[in-house]
Amino acid sequence: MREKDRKTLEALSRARPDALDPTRLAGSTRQHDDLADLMAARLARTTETSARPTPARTTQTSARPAPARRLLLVPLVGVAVAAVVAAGAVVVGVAQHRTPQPTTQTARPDGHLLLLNMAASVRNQATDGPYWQFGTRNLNLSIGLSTGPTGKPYVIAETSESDWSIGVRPGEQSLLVSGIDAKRAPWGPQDNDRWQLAGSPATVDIDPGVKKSGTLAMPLGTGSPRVDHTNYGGSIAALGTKNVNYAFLQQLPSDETQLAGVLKQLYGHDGGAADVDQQDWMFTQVSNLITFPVSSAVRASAYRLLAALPGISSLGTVTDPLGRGGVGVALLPRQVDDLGLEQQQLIVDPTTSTILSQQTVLVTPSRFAASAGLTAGTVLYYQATTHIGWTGQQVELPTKH
Amino acid sequence: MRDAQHFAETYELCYPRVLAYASSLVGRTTGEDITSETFAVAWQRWAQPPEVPLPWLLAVARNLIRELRRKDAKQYELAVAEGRRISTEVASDDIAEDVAQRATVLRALASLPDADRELLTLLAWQGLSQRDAARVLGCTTATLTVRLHRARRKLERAIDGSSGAESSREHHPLALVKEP
Repeated sequence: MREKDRKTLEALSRARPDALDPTRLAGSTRQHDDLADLMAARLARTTETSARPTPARTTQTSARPAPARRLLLVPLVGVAVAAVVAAGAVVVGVAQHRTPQPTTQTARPDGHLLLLNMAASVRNQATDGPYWQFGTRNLNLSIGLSTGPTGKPYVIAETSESDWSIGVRPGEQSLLVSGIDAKRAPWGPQDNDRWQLAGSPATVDIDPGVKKSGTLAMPLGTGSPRVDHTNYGGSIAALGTKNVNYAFLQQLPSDETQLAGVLKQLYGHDGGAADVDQQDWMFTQVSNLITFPVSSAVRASAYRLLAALPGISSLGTVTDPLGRGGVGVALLPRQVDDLGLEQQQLIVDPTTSTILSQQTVLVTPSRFAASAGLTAGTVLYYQATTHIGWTGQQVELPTKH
Repeated sequence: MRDAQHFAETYELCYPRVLAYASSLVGRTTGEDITSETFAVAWQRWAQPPEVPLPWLLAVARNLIRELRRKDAKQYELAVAEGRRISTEVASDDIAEDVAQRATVLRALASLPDADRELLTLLAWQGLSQRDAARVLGCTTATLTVRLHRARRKLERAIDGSSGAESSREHHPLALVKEP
């Protein structure tokens, strides 16, 4: 393309009227309503074919568009694309400061041994109710690009809590309440200053961290929780892309070689898991499996599987994002998006072998991440467990606003 | 089962872009209806989602707009006039430094035939590659390159001779989208 041609298109690009700027068109009521309508039609279809009707009542408690997710599973890495911005007060206790985590306090034992110890200390969980509940507090950092002509990129933090309740008996519902106390805002004081310099935009273009995918326009602020049904037919959880039922989870082999075989087969079904590295995939899926309603023998086997992953290392004694002491293990750092070298970590309570936090930590910031003020050691994403186990009570649904 | 999460993610990403494109052709109100229908069509076909969704979605929107022309010529003409207005008008409250230059470019754009305007804005405003723009317009990349070359020449000439071009948009019929 000639220089003049390029300049002509650039001039035209700059001249785009604001009324046609996608970032200004994002997040309208119409946009949300349309998606809700499409998904409602889908739920209605699901109801027709499933053994147990899905009550519309539950969907209506959500002020947001009805869910659009494959059987749940909070992604371990990545931007939460659905515009969940929920109501409520500032989340208390979530790491809102730029405190590098985790802090290593002692000499590091071998990661392999540490996980074998975890496997040995898995406790039996008494099955005293039909609901397996898993509550988490979540953080995801991304970089805001709506900076104005002279501004610098800044960090946007999304915080929320979620509560996943799996009904394991036939006919019981599985519900995910997400976006509780959700908030999307500039992260620290420096980010707030830069955001204000950019004119305090209500909607911020966010770098999704994946090359060539454009930007995401994200409204800042708060919103309402939403309720997703996560049982489709008898399926209650997802391993890779496969929806599985409780019987499948109960029948998983407790021998780690056989369990690895089952998971490797699922990895194959995940389209060779596209561009996801097999170690990362295993780490994520096995970590998820540990949080599922599986037998203690399978949970112990899952820890042994993690111990056998190549490149697993120990972080020693660390503090999790909610300030709790635990021990950490990590995969080798990898470049998964444009923020730099990142590391997947798992922090576990050594006395109960409960996962405290699944998280991604920035090990070496890219120039881009550094320009937004991100430093080595920053936790970019975490899903920290607030409660997990069996209960006799279905999860409480948020009240309608 | 169709992948609802993937659909919802695509929806969040692409909705504002499809709406921007549709609004540039038929105005915001009709543009919202077209965008709505576009995603309804996309959802019906989501069993085999497109690898690169945006050009595909824009092509669906474009076809729906053509259908509107067949179904309701009167509404179509009004909508096209509105699309032309919002894509070529500088907001009166625009205080950006380069407002004069932007106004010149938009006036020049308004003087072009609609097919040229659509082609140029697919690249400059929607950020499509030439290959993706060709997909949307249903022509070959080679054809698009030739059309783009001509459209750009016309725009440059219009910018260079833009003084007093205020009323030039009246000189062109509302013939929006020409068949390739």
